[in-house]
Amino acid sequence: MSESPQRLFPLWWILPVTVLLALLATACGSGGGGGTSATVTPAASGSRHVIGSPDAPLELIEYADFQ
Amino acid sequence: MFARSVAPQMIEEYVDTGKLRYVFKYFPFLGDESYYAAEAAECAGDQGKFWEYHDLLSLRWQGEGVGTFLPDKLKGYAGELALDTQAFGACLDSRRHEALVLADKRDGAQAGVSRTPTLILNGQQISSPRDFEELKAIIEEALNGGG
Repeated sequence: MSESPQRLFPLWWILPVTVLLALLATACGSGGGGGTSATVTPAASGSRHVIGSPDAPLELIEYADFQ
Repeated sequence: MFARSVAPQMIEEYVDTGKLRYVFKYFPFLGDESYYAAEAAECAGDQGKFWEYHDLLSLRWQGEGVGTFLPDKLKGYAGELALDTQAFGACLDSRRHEALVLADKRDGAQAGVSRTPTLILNGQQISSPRDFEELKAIIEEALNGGG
C-alpha cells in the first residue's frame, strides 16, 4: 500500500528550506569595518561588534568615544 | 583619530589575515554628543549597518562638542547610508540602546579605562599608538611571544 501524499508532504521541503536559511544567515553575517571587508564573528569579550577570526591569536579591544 | 588613521590598516594587515580579532566597545565620556553617537551606531546596527555607520562617524568627526553628533545630524547620516530613517529616528529618540552603551562604559571603567581611545591587547592595556607603524610594532612583538 503506497503512502498518501498528505503523509509524505511534511518531509520533502525540510532539507531545501534548511539549506536556504543557512545560506541567508551566512549572507547576512558578513560586513565591513574600517572600510574593508572582514569576517564578522559571534560576539567575543561581551561585545556585539567584533571582526576577525575567533581563532586569531590576538584580541584587541578598543574603547572609543566617537567624539 | 584611531578609527580613521590606524584602524583601516590594522584591519587589512592583521584582522583580514586571521592574526587579530578586533572588538569595539563604547566609552562615551566627552559629553552628550558622545552618548547620542554611540546610541545612533547601535540603531544603525539594528539595521545591519553598524560598521558602515561607525566608519561614517569617523569621517564626519570635526571635534569635541561642535554639534556634529547632535540627533538631527545623526539622523542625516543614517539617510546617507540609505537606512530606514523613520525606524532609525524612532530608535534614537527612544534611547532604547542607552543601557547597552552604559554597560560597555561600566566594563571599561572596571578594566581601568579613563580616556579614549584605550586599547587592550590580549588583556593588557597598551599605550595609544600615534600611527599604524607604532601599533604594528606592538602587535608584532605580541605575535612573537613578547606581549
